Amino acid sequence: MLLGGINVKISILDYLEDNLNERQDKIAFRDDSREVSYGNFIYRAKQLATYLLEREFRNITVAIYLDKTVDCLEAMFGCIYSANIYCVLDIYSPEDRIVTILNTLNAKVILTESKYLKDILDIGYEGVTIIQLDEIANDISENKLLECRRKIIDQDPVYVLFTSGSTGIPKGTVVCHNSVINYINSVIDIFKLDSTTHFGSQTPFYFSMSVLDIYANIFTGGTFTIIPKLLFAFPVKLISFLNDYKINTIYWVPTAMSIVANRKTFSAVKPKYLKCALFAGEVMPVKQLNYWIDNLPNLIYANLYGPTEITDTGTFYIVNRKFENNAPLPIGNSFPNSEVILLTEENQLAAEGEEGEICFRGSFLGAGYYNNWEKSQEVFCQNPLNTAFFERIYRTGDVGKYNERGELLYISRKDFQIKKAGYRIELGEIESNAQSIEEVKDCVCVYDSEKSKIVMYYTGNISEKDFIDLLHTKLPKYMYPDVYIKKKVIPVNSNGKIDRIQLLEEYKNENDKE
Amino acid sequence: MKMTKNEIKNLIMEIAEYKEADIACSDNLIEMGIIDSLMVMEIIDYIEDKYQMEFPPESIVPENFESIDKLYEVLNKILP
Repeated sequence: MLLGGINVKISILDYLEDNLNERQDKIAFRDDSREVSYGNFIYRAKQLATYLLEREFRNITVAIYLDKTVDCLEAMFGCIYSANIYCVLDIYSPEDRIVTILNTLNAKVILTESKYLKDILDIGYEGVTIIQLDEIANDISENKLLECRRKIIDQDPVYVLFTSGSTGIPKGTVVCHNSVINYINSVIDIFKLDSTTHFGSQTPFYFSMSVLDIYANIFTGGTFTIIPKLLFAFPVKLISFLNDYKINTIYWVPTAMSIVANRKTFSAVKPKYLKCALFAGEVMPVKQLNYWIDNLPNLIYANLYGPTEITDTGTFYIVNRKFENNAPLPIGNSFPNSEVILLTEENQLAAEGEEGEICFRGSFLGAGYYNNWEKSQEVFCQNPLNTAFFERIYRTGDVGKYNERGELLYISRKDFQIKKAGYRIELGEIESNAQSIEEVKDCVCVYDSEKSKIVMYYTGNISEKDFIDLLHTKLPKYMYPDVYIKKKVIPVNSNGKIDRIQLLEEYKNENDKE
Repeated sequence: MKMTKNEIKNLIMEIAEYKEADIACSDNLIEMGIIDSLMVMEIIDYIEDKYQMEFPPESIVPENFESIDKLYEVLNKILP
Protein backbone atom coordinates (compact mmCIF):
# COMPACT_ATOMS: atom_id res chain seq x y z
CA MET A 1 0.00 0.00 0.00
CA LEU A 2 1.38 3.36 -0.90
CA LEU A 3 -0.52 6.59 -0.59
CA GLY A 4 -4.23 6.62 0.21
CA GLY A 5 -5.09 3.78 -2.13
CA ILE A 6 -2.49 4.59 -4.77
CA ASN A 7 -0.38 1.57 -5.62
CA VAL A 8 2.10 2.98 -8.10
CA LYS A 9 5.59 3.96 -7.07
CA ILE A 10 6.06 7.54 -8.15
CA SER A 11 8.85 9.12 -6.19
CA ILE A 12 12.01 8.18 -4.33
CA LEU A 13 9.96 8.41 -1.15
CA ASP A 14 7.89 5.37 -2.17
CA TYR A 15 11.10 3.35 -2.37
CA LEU A 16 12.35 4.71 0.95
CA GLU A 17 9.11 3.79 2.70
CA ASP A 18 9.28 0.21 1.42
CA ASN A 19 11.71 -0.26 4.29
CA LEU A 20 9.13 0.61 6.94
CA ASN A 21 7.65 -2.87 7.26
CA GLU A 22 10.67 -5.11 7.56
CA ARG A 23 13.48 -2.73 8.33
CA GLN A 24 12.04 -0.17 10.72
CA ASP A 25 14.91 -0.75 13.18
CA LYS A 26 17.69 -1.63 10.76
CA ILE A 27 20.61 0.82 10.55
CA ALA A 28 20.20 2.85 7.38
CA PHE A 29 23.04 5.35 7.69
CA ARG A 30 26.04 5.76 9.94
CA ASP A 31 28.76 8.36 10.39
CA ASP A 32 31.54 8.65 12.96
CA SER A 33 29.27 10.15 15.59
CA ARG A 34 25.89 8.47 15.16
CA GLU A 35 23.79 5.94 13.33
CA VAL A 36 20.12 6.05 12.38
CA SER A 37 17.53 3.34 11.68
CA TYR A 38 15.20 3.49 8.69
CA GLY A 39 12.29 4.29 11.01
CA ASN A 40 14.06 7.17 12.73
CA PHE A 41 15.54 8.44 9.48
CA ILE A 42 12.09 8.73 7.91
CA TYR A 43 10.73 10.32 11.08
CA ARG A 44 13.44 12.98 11.09
CA ALA A 45 13.05 13.71 7.38
CA LYS A 46 9.29 14.16 7.87
CA GLN A 47 9.89 16.41 10.85
CA LEU A 48 12.14 18.72 8.81
CA ALA A 49 9.69 18.60 5.91
CA THR A 50 6.81 19.58 8.18
CA TYR A 51 8.87 22.50 9.47
CA LEU A 52 9.52 23.70 5.91
CA LEU A 53 5.93 23.21 4.75
CA GLU A 54 4.52 25.07 7.75
CA ARG A 55 6.60 28.05 6.66
CA GLU A 56 5.32 27.78 3.09
CA PHE A 57 8.69 26.64 1.75
CA ARG A 58 7.73 24.31 -1.06
CA ASN A 59 8.94 23.86 -4.66
CA ILE A 60 11.94 26.06 -4.07
CA THR A 61 15.67 25.43 -4.04
CA VAL A 62 17.11 24.78 -0.59
CA ALA A 63 20.86 24.92 -0.05
CA ILE A 64 22.33 22.56 2.52
CA TYR A 65 25.40 23.83 4.32
CA LEU A 66 26.60 20.77 6.22
CA ASP A 67 29.58 18.46 6.29
CA LYS A 68 29.27 14.84 5.13
CA THR A 69 27.14 13.48 7.96
CA VAL A 70 23.93 11.58 8.66
CA ASP A 71 22.40 14.98 9.53
CA CYS A 72 23.10 16.06 5.97
CA LEU A 73 21.28 13.01 4.58
CA GLU A 74 18.29 13.76 6.81
CA ALA A 75 18.26 17.34 5.54
CA MET A 76 18.31 16.08 1.94
CA PHE A 77 15.30 13.85 2.55
CA GLY A 78 13.56 16.59 4.51
CA CYS A 79 13.71 18.56 1.27
CA ILE A 80 12.39 15.66 -0.79
CA TYR A 81 9.43 15.14 1.58
CA SER A 82 8.57 18.84 1.30
CA ALA A 83 8.95 18.87 -2.52
CA ASN A 84 11.89 21.23 -2.30
CA ILE A 85 14.97 20.88 -4.47
CA TYR A 86 18.08 20.37 -2.40
CA CYS A 87 21.59 21.43 -3.26
CA VAL A 88 24.40 20.24 -1.01
CA LEU A 89 27.18 22.82 -0.81
CA ASP A 90 30.87 22.11 -0.43
CA ILE A 91 31.42 23.96 2.83
CA TYR A 92 35.18 23.95 2.28
CA SER A 93 35.01 25.76 -1.05
CA PRO A 94 35.76 29.51 -1.23
CA GLU A 95 33.06 32.01 -0.31
CA ASP A 96 32.97 33.43 -3.84
CA ARG A 97 32.06 30.08 -5.30
CA ILE A 98 29.37 29.47 -2.68
CA VAL A 99 27.86 32.89 -3.38
CA THR A 100 27.86 32.20 -7.13
CA ILE A 101 26.03 28.93 -6.53
CA LEU A 102 23.50 30.53 -4.16
CA ASN A 103 22.89 33.28 -6.72
CA THR A 104 22.42 30.80 -9.55
CA LEU A 105 19.97 28.85 -7.42
CA ASN A 106 18.32 32.01 -6.17
CA ALA A 107 18.32 30.13 -2.88
CA LYS A 108 15.83 31.38 -0.31
CA VAL A 109 16.60 28.85 2.40
CA ILE A 110 19.83 27.43 3.81
CA LEU A 111 19.66 24.39 6.06
CA THR A 112 22.57 24.18 8.47
CA GLU A 113 23.57 23.69 12.09
CA SER A 114 24.25 26.36 14.68
CA LYS A 115 28.01 25.74 14.54
CA TYR A 116 28.11 27.00 10.93
CA LEU A 117 25.90 30.04 11.48
CA LYS A 118 28.80 32.46 11.71
CA ASP A 119 30.46 31.06 8.56
CA ILE A 120 27.23 31.51 6.61
CA LEU A 121 26.66 35.05 7.88
CA ASP A 122 30.25 35.85 6.86
CA ILE A 123 29.49 34.82 3.28
CA GLY A 124 27.18 37.82 3.11
CA TYR A 125 24.47 36.31 0.89
CA GLU A 126 21.35 38.40 1.44
CA GLY A 127 17.65 37.63 1.63
CA VAL A 128 17.90 34.06 2.79
CA THR A 129 16.26 32.23 5.69
CA ILE A 130 18.84 30.26 7.64
CA ILE A 131 17.40 27.24 9.42
CA GLN A 132 19.45 25.58 12.13
CA LEU A 133 18.55 21.91 12.16
CA ASP A 134 19.74 21.30 15.69
CA GLU A 135 16.92 23.54 16.88
CA ILE A 136 14.13 21.73 15.07
CA ALA A 137 11.99 19.39 17.17
CA ASN A 138 8.45 20.03 15.98
CA ASP A 139 5.67 17.48 15.57
CA ILE A 140 5.06 15.83 12.23
CA SER A 141 1.98 16.93 10.31
CA GLU A 142 0.96 13.89 8.25
CA ASN A 143 -1.79 15.99 6.68
CA LYS A 144 0.57 18.60 5.35
CA LEU A 145 2.97 15.93 4.12
CA LEU A 146 0.20 14.02 2.36
CA GLU A 147 -1.14 17.15 0.72
CA CYS A 148 2.35 17.93 -0.56
CA ARG A 149 3.08 14.35 -1.57
CA ARG A 150 -0.05 14.01 -3.73
CA LYS A 151 1.25 16.69 -6.07
CA ILE A 152 4.67 15.12 -6.62
CA ILE A 153 5.19 13.54 -10.05
CA ASP A 154 8.26 11.62 -11.11
CA GLN A 155 9.44 14.44 -13.34
CA ASP A 156 9.77 16.80 -10.40
CA PRO A 157 13.33 17.68 -9.48
CA VAL A 158 15.08 16.14 -6.48
CA TYR A 159 18.38 18.00 -6.41
CA VAL A 160 20.76 20.34 -8.18
CA LEU A 161 24.39 19.29 -8.38
CA PHE A 162 27.06 21.77 -9.42
CA THR A 163 30.05 21.02 -11.60
CA SER A 164 32.79 23.24 -12.91
CA GLY A 165 31.86 25.56 -15.81
CA SER A 166 34.23 26.90 -18.46
CA THR A 167 33.04 30.48 -18.16
CA GLY A 168 34.00 30.43 -14.52
CA ILE A 169 30.37 30.00 -13.52
CA PRO A 170 29.58 26.55 -12.12
CA LYS A 171 26.70 24.71 -13.81
CA GLY A 172 23.95 23.14 -11.71
CA THR A 173 22.43 19.99 -13.18
CA VAL A 174 18.81 19.43 -12.17
CA VAL A 175 17.95 15.77 -11.61
CA CYS A 176 14.39 14.46 -11.24
CA HIS A 177 12.84 11.52 -9.40
CA ASN A 178 12.43 9.42 -12.54
CA SER A 179 16.11 9.70 -13.44
CA VAL A 180 17.29 8.61 -10.01
CA ILE A 181 14.72 5.80 -9.91
CA ASN A 182 15.64 4.43 -13.34
CA TYR A 183 19.37 4.75 -12.78
CA ILE A 184 19.34 3.12 -9.38
CA ASN A 185 17.09 0.26 -10.49
CA SER A 186 19.51 -0.51 -13.34
CA VAL A 187 22.54 -0.39 -11.02
CA ILE A 188 20.88 -2.67 -8.48
CA ASP A 189 20.01 -5.14 -11.21
CA ILE A 190 23.47 -5.23 -12.81
CA PHE A 191 25.49 -5.50 -9.60
CA LYS A 192 22.92 -7.67 -7.77
CA LEU A 193 22.66 -5.36 -4.79
CA ASP A 194 20.16 -6.24 -2.05
CA SER A 195 19.38 -5.62 1.61
CA THR A 196 22.63 -7.33 2.63
CA THR A 197 24.60 -4.66 0.75
CA HIS A 198 26.69 -2.50 3.04
CA PHE A 199 28.27 0.50 1.35
CA GLY A 200 31.45 2.16 2.60
CA SER A 201 30.96 5.67 1.28
CA GLN A 202 33.92 7.70 0.08
CA THR A 203 32.56 10.43 -2.22
CA PRO A 204 31.24 13.82 -1.02
CA PHE A 205 27.49 14.47 -1.21
CA TYR A 206 28.06 17.39 -3.59
CA PHE A 207 29.58 14.93 -6.06
CA SER A 208 27.35 12.87 -8.41
CA MET A 209 28.96 9.54 -7.51
CA SER A 210 27.32 9.75 -4.08
CA VAL A 211 23.91 9.43 -5.78
CA LEU A 212 24.65 5.77 -6.47
CA ASP A 213 25.46 4.65 -2.96
CA ILE A 214 22.94 6.85 -1.13
CA TYR A 215 19.97 5.85 -3.28
CA ALA A 216 20.98 2.25 -3.96
CA ASN A 217 21.14 1.90 -0.19
CA ILE A 218 17.63 3.22 0.25
CA PHE A 219 16.18 1.21 -2.62
CA THR A 220 17.64 -2.07 -1.32
CA GLY A 221 17.25 -1.42 2.38
CA GLY A 222 20.96 -1.91 2.94
CA THR A 223 23.33 -0.05 5.23
CA PHE A 224 25.51 2.93 4.38
CA THR A 225 28.54 3.85 6.44
CA ILE A 226 30.39 7.10 5.86
CA ILE A 227 34.13 6.46 5.93
CA PRO A 228 35.96 9.25 7.81
CA LYS A 229 37.94 11.22 5.24
CA LEU A 230 41.15 11.06 7.23
CA LEU A 231 41.30 7.27 6.83
CA PHE A 232 42.13 7.68 3.15
CA ALA A 233 45.59 8.80 4.25
CA PHE A 234 45.98 5.68 6.37
CA PRO A 235 45.17 2.72 4.14
CA VAL A 236 45.79 0.02 6.75
CA LYS A 237 43.33 1.74 9.07
CA LEU A 238 40.97 2.19 6.16
CA ILE A 239 40.86 -1.53 5.39
CA SER A 240 40.54 -2.36 9.10
CA PHE A 241 37.59 0.04 9.18
CA LEU A 242 35.93 -1.88 6.31
CA ASN A 243 36.46 -5.08 8.29
CA ASP A 244 35.21 -3.64 11.58
CA TYR A 245 31.92 -2.65 10.00
CA LYS A 246 31.70 -5.65 7.65
CA ILE A 247 31.47 -3.37 4.63
CA ASN A 248 30.98 -5.42 1.45
CA THR A 249 30.52 -2.84 -1.33
CA ILE A 250 32.50 0.23 -2.30
CA TYR A 251 32.08 2.82 -5.03
CA TRP A 252 35.20 4.97 -4.87
CA VAL A 253 37.17 7.26 -7.13
CA PRO A 254 40.23 5.50 -8.58
CA THR A 255 42.49 7.81 -6.56
CA ALA A 256 41.16 6.26 -3.37
CA MET A 257 41.69 2.74 -4.69
CA SER A 258 45.17 3.67 -5.85
CA ILE A 259 46.20 4.88 -2.41
CA VAL A 260 45.48 1.40 -1.08
CA ALA A 261 47.46 -0.18 -3.92
CA ASN A 262 50.42 2.21 -3.82
CA ARG A 263 50.99 1.57 -0.11
CA LYS A 264 50.91 -2.20 -0.63
CA THR A 265 48.26 -2.26 2.06
CA PHE A 266 47.13 -5.86 1.54
CA SER A 267 50.43 -7.21 2.85
CA ALA A 268 49.34 -5.88 6.24
CA VAL A 269 45.56 -6.32 6.12
CA LYS A 270 42.98 -7.54 3.60
CA PRO A 271 39.29 -6.68 3.43
CA LYS A 272 37.43 -9.72 4.70
CA TYR A 273 33.87 -8.93 3.64
CA LEU A 274 34.33 -6.95 0.43
CA LYS A 275 32.48 -8.42 -2.56
CA CYS A 276 32.08 -5.59 -4.99
CA ALA A 277 34.43 -2.74 -5.91
CA LEU A 278 32.96 -0.17 -8.27
CA PHE A 279 34.84 2.88 -9.46
CA ALA A 280 34.27 5.92 -11.64
CA GLY A 281 35.04 9.60 -11.84
CA GLU A 282 38.35 9.40 -13.66
CA VAL A 283 40.44 6.87 -15.55
CA MET A 284 41.35 3.90 -13.35
CA PRO A 285 45.07 3.13 -13.70
CA VAL A 286 45.41 -0.54 -14.59
CA LYS A 287 48.57 -1.05 -12.56
CA GLN A 288 46.77 -0.24 -9.33
CA LEU A 289 43.67 -2.17 -10.37
CA ASN A 290 45.85 -5.23 -11.00
CA TYR A 291 47.20 -4.96 -7.47
CA TRP A 292 43.63 -5.24 -6.18
CA ILE A 293 42.76 -8.09 -8.51
CA ASP A 294 45.94 -10.05 -7.75
CA ASN A 295 45.32 -9.79 -4.03
CA LEU A 296 41.54 -10.07 -4.05
CA PRO A 297 40.65 -12.14 -7.12
CA ASN A 298 37.10 -13.00 -6.06
CA LEU A 299 35.67 -9.49 -6.05
CA ILE A 300 33.49 -8.02 -8.76
CA TYR A 301 35.35 -5.03 -10.22
CA ALA A 302 33.52 -2.60 -12.44
CA ASN A 303 34.51 0.57 -14.23
CA LEU A 304 31.58 2.99 -14.49
CA TYR A 305 31.46 5.98 -16.77
CA GLY A 306 29.22 8.99 -17.14
CA PRO A 307 28.66 12.62 -16.21
CA THR A 308 26.55 14.33 -13.53
CA GLU A 309 24.14 15.35 -16.32
CA ILE A 310 22.87 11.79 -16.70
CA THR A 311 22.45 11.36 -12.91
CA ASP A 312 25.74 9.56 -12.40
CA THR A 313 26.91 7.06 -14.98
CA GLY A 314 25.55 5.51 -18.16
CA THR A 315 27.97 2.72 -18.99
CA PHE A 316 29.78 0.04 -17.01
CA TYR A 317 32.44 -2.54 -17.65
CA ILE A 318 32.77 -5.54 -15.36
CA VAL A 319 36.45 -6.51 -15.47
CA ASN A 320 36.53 -10.00 -16.93
CA ARG A 321 40.07 -10.37 -18.23
CA LYS A 322 43.63 -9.41 -17.47
CA PHE A 323 44.93 -6.04 -18.70
CA GLU A 324 48.52 -5.00 -19.27
CA ASN A 325 49.58 -2.08 -17.10
CA ASN A 326 49.44 0.44 -19.93
CA ALA A 327 46.26 -0.87 -21.60
CA PRO A 328 43.11 1.24 -21.43
CA LEU A 329 40.28 -0.16 -19.36
CA PRO A 330 37.04 -0.10 -21.39
CA ILE A 331 34.09 1.90 -20.13
CA GLY A 332 32.01 -0.95 -21.45
CA ASN A 333 28.37 -0.85 -22.44
CA SER A 334 25.20 1.01 -21.53
CA PHE A 335 23.23 0.24 -18.42
CA PRO A 336 19.76 -1.17 -19.11
CA ASN A 337 17.41 1.70 -19.98
CA SER A 338 20.23 3.92 -21.24
CA GLU A 339 21.86 4.03 -24.66
CA VAL A 340 25.11 5.48 -25.92
CA ILE A 341 25.23 6.97 -29.39
CA LEU A 342 28.55 8.00 -30.87
CA LEU A 343 28.19 11.04 -33.08
CA THR A 344 30.75 12.28 -35.58
CA GLU A 345 31.51 15.97 -36.18
CA GLU A 346 28.83 15.84 -38.91
CA ASN A 347 26.24 14.51 -36.42
CA GLN A 348 26.24 11.12 -38.07
CA LEU A 349 26.48 7.81 -36.29
CA ALA A 350 30.16 6.88 -36.08
CA ALA A 351 31.11 3.91 -38.23
CA GLU A 352 32.53 0.73 -36.67
CA GLY A 353 35.80 1.55 -34.93
CA GLU A 354 35.43 5.27 -35.71
CA GLU A 355 35.72 7.90 -32.98
CA GLY A 356 32.74 10.00 -32.03
CA GLU A 357 31.30 12.16 -29.27
CA ILE A 358 29.71 10.04 -26.58
CA CYS A 359 26.03 10.99 -26.29
CA PHE A 360 23.37 9.43 -24.08
CA ARG A 361 19.68 8.95 -24.51
CA GLY A 362 17.22 7.65 -21.96
CA SER A 363 15.65 8.48 -18.65
CA PHE A 364 18.92 8.96 -16.75
CA LEU A 365 19.16 12.37 -18.41
CA GLY A 366 18.84 15.33 -16.09
CA ALA A 367 16.52 18.26 -16.70
CA GLY A 368 19.25 20.69 -17.81
CA TYR A 369 21.18 23.31 -15.88
CA TYR A 370 19.40 25.43 -13.31
CA ASN A 371 18.90 28.99 -14.56
CA ASN A 372 21.09 28.43 -17.59
CA TRP A 373 18.96 27.94 -20.71
CA GLU A 374 21.73 28.62 -23.15
CA LYS A 375 24.09 25.97 -21.90
CA SER A 376 21.20 23.56 -21.30
CA GLN A 377 20.01 23.76 -24.89
CA GLU A 378 23.51 23.35 -26.20
CA VAL A 379 24.18 20.00 -24.57
CA PHE A 380 20.71 18.63 -23.73
CA CYS A 381 19.50 18.70 -27.29
CA GLN A 382 17.35 16.95 -29.88
CA ASN A 383 18.80 13.67 -31.09
CA PRO A 384 20.08 14.67 -34.56
CA LEU A 385 19.38 11.14 -35.80
CA ASN A 386 15.68 11.58 -35.07
CA THR A 387 13.84 14.11 -37.22
CA ALA A 388 10.33 12.83 -36.52
CA PHE A 389 9.60 13.65 -32.85
CA PHE A 390 11.04 15.07 -29.60
CA GLU A 391 13.87 13.02 -28.26
CA ARG A 392 16.50 14.51 -26.03
CA ILE A 393 20.10 13.39 -25.86
CA TYR A 394 22.93 14.62 -23.67
CA ARG A 395 26.21 15.42 -25.39
CA THR A 396 29.06 14.64 -23.00
CA GLY A 397 31.85 16.36 -24.93
CA ASP A 398 33.87 13.17 -24.41
CA VAL A 399 35.25 11.32 -27.38
CA GLY A 400 35.04 7.53 -27.49
CA LYS A 401 35.11 4.55 -29.82
CA TYR A 402 34.27 0.87 -29.74
CA ASN A 403 37.01 -1.76 -29.68
CA GLU A 404 36.83 -5.01 -31.64
CA ARG A 405 35.02 -6.65 -28.72
CA GLY A 406 32.23 -4.09 -28.93
CA GLU A 407 33.28 -2.38 -25.70
CA LEU A 408 33.30 1.39 -25.52
CA LEU A 409 36.67 3.07 -24.91
CA TYR A 410 37.09 6.58 -23.57
CA ILE A 411 39.55 8.57 -25.72
CA SER A 412 39.67 12.17 -24.47
CA ARG A 413 37.80 15.41 -23.84
CA LYS A 414 36.57 17.46 -26.76
CA ASP A 415 37.27 20.71 -24.95
CA PHE A 416 39.52 21.58 -22.06
CA GLN A 417 37.69 19.92 -19.30
CA ILE A 418 39.86 17.58 -17.31
CA LYS A 419 39.49 15.02 -14.57
CA LYS A 420 41.87 15.16 -11.67
CA ALA A 421 41.59 13.05 -8.53
CA GLY A 422 38.00 12.36 -9.54
CA TYR A 423 37.08 16.02 -9.80
CA ARG A 424 35.82 17.45 -13.01
CA ILE A 425 37.65 20.67 -13.70
CA GLU A 426 37.27 23.15 -16.53
CA LEU A 427 40.69 24.66 -17.07
CA GLY A 428 38.76 27.72 -18.21
CA GLU A 429 37.38 28.19 -14.72
CA ILE A 430 40.87 28.33 -13.26
CA GLU A 431 41.92 30.71 -16.01
CA SER A 432 39.03 33.07 -15.61
CA ASN A 433 39.65 33.26 -11.86
CA ALA A 434 43.35 33.89 -12.45
CA GLN A 435 42.46 36.48 -15.05
CA SER A 436 40.35 38.27 -12.49
CA ILE A 437 43.50 39.14 -10.54
CA GLU A 438 44.40 42.67 -11.60
CA GLU A 439 48.14 42.23 -11.97
CA VAL A 440 47.79 39.09 -14.09
CA LYS A 441 47.92 39.98 -17.74
CA ASP A 442 47.51 36.76 -19.66
CA CYS A 443 47.22 33.30 -18.37
CA VAL A 444 46.53 29.83 -19.64
CA CYS A 445 46.29 26.44 -18.00
CA VAL A 446 47.35 23.19 -19.58
CA TYR A 447 47.01 19.75 -18.14
CA ASP A 448 49.71 17.12 -18.22
CA SER A 449 47.51 14.05 -17.96
CA GLU A 450 50.43 11.64 -17.63
CA LYS A 451 51.69 13.31 -14.48
CA SER A 452 48.29 14.67 -13.37
CA LYS A 453 49.61 18.20 -13.14
CA ILE A 454 47.80 21.43 -13.89
CA VAL A 455 50.34 23.88 -15.25
CA MET A 456 49.61 27.61 -15.13
CA TYR A 457 51.42 29.86 -17.60
CA TYR A 458 51.04 33.56 -16.95
CA THR A 459 52.36 37.00 -17.74
CA GLY A 460 52.09 40.19 -15.70
CA ASN A 461 53.67 42.18 -12.96
CA ILE A 462 53.06 39.86 -10.04
CA SER A 463 55.29 37.53 -8.04
CA GLU A 464 54.55 33.84 -8.13
CA LYS A 465 53.90 33.84 -4.41
CA ASP A 466 51.37 36.70 -4.54
CA PHE A 467 49.69 35.10 -7.52
CA ILE A 468 49.34 31.78 -5.73
CA ASP A 469 48.06 33.41 -2.55
CA LEU A 470 45.41 35.38 -4.44
CA LEU A 471 44.34 32.53 -6.68
CA HIS A 472 43.98 30.19 -3.72
CA THR A 473 41.37 32.50 -2.20
CA LYS A 474 39.23 32.04 -5.30
CA LEU A 475 39.39 28.32 -6.04
CA PRO A 476 38.56 25.12 -4.22
CA LYS A 477 41.68 23.22 -3.36
CA TYR A 478 41.27 20.51 -5.97
CA MET A 479 41.50 23.18 -8.68
CA TYR A 480 44.83 24.60 -7.53
CA PRO A 481 47.44 24.54 -10.30
CA ASP A 482 50.44 22.35 -9.44
CA VAL A 483 53.04 24.27 -11.40
CA TYR A 484 53.35 27.99 -12.13
CA ILE A 485 55.48 29.25 -15.00
CA LYS A 486 55.92 32.94 -15.69
CA LYS A 487 56.37 33.89 -19.36
CA LYS A 488 57.21 37.06 -21.18
CA VAL A 489 54.52 36.30 -23.77
CA ILE A 490 51.97 33.55 -24.18
CA PRO A 491 52.41 31.89 -27.59
CA VAL A 492 49.55 31.97 -30.09
CA ASN A 493 48.91 29.64 -33.02
CA SER A 494 48.15 30.60 -36.64
CA ASN A 495 44.51 31.34 -35.78
CA GLY A 496 45.64 33.80 -33.14
CA LYS A 497 44.41 31.47 -30.42
CA ILE A 498 46.49 30.60 -27.42
CA ASP A 499 48.67 27.70 -28.41
CA ARG A 500 47.93 25.19 -25.68
CA ILE A 501 49.50 22.35 -27.58
CA GLN A 502 52.82 24.15 -27.85
CA LEU A 503 52.75 25.08 -24.16
CA LEU A 504 52.01 21.55 -23.10
CA GLU A 505 54.83 20.22 -25.26
CA GLU A 506 57.16 22.87 -23.89
CA TYR A 507 56.30 21.82 -20.38
CA LYS A 508 56.73 18.13 -21.11
CA ASN A 509 60.08 18.70 -22.81
CA GLU A 510 61.37 20.79 -19.91
CA ASN A 511 60.24 18.13 -17.53
CA ASP A 512 61.81 15.27 -19.45
CA LYS A 513 65.19 16.96 -19.32
CA GLU A 514 65.20 16.91 -15.55
CA MET B 1 70.41 9.78 7.48
CA LYS B 2 67.81 11.29 9.78
CA MET B 3 65.41 14.20 9.70
CA THR B 4 65.67 16.78 12.43
CA LYS B 5 62.57 18.04 14.22
CA ASN B 6 63.10 21.37 12.57
CA GLU B 7 63.18 19.84 9.10
CA ILE B 8 59.98 17.98 9.86
CA LYS B 9 58.36 21.16 11.10
CA ASN B 10 59.36 23.12 8.01
CA LEU B 11 58.08 20.37 5.76
CA ILE B 12 54.72 20.28 7.52
CA MET B 13 54.37 24.05 7.55
CA GLU B 14 55.12 24.18 3.85
CA ILE B 15 52.76 21.38 2.86
CA ALA B 16 50.00 22.65 5.12
CA GLU B 17 50.55 26.22 3.93
CA TYR B 18 50.56 27.03 7.63
CA LYS B 19 51.92 30.48 8.20
CA GLU B 20 50.29 31.64 11.40
CA ALA B 21 51.88 30.86 14.74
CA ASP B 22 54.73 28.49 15.36
CA ILE B 23 53.79 24.84 15.70
CA ALA B 24 55.00 23.22 18.90
CA CYS B 25 56.56 19.78 18.51
CA SER B 26 53.92 18.28 20.79
CA ASP B 27 50.90 19.93 19.07
CA ASN B 28 48.31 17.48 17.75
CA LEU B 29 48.42 18.32 14.07
CA ILE B 30 45.37 16.30 13.07
CA GLU B 31 43.09 17.42 15.89
CA MET B 32 44.11 21.04 15.41
CA GLY B 33 43.23 20.71 11.74
CA ILE B 34 46.71 21.71 10.60
CA ILE B 35 47.06 18.64 8.39
CA ASP B 36 44.40 16.62 6.59
CA SER B 37 44.47 13.30 4.75
CA LEU B 38 45.87 14.74 1.53
CA MET B 39 48.68 16.46 3.37
CA VAL B 40 49.63 13.28 5.21
CA MET B 41 50.09 11.68 1.81
CA GLU B 42 52.15 14.60 0.57
CA ILE B 43 54.39 14.30 3.62
CA ILE B 44 54.88 10.58 3.02
CA ASP B 45 55.53 11.08 -0.70
CA TYR B 46 58.08 13.77 0.00
CA ILE B 47 60.01 11.75 2.56
CA GLU B 48 59.91 8.57 0.47
CA ASP B 49 61.20 10.50 -2.49
CA LYS B 50 63.95 12.28 -0.61
CA TYR B 51 65.27 9.24 1.22
CA GLN B 52 64.50 6.69 -1.50
CA MET B 53 62.61 4.42 0.87
CA GLU B 54 59.09 3.16 1.46
CA PHE B 55 57.05 3.56 4.60
CA PRO B 56 55.98 0.12 5.83
CA PRO B 57 52.15 0.06 5.47
CA GLU B 58 51.74 -0.60 9.19
CA SER B 59 53.60 2.59 10.02
CA ILE B 60 51.09 4.76 8.17
CA VAL B 61 48.60 5.21 10.99
CA PRO B 62 47.19 8.42 12.47
CA GLU B 63 49.08 7.99 15.74
CA ASN B 64 52.41 8.34 13.92
CA PHE B 65 51.42 11.61 12.28
CA GLU B 66 49.84 13.14 15.34
CA SER B 67 52.69 15.51 16.16
CA ILE B 68 56.18 16.50 15.11
CA ASP B 69 57.56 14.61 18.12
CA LYS B 70 55.76 11.45 17.12
CA LEU B 71 56.77 11.65 13.47
CA TYR B 72 60.37 12.28 14.50
CA GLU B 73 60.31 9.15 16.64
CA VAL B 74 58.86 7.05 13.81
CA LEU B 75 61.24 8.38 11.19
CA ASN B 76 64.16 7.58 13.42
CA LYS B 77 63.08 3.96 13.31
CA ILE B 78 62.30 3.62 9.63
CA LEU B 79 64.67 5.92 7.77
CA PRO B 80 67.68 4.17 6.28
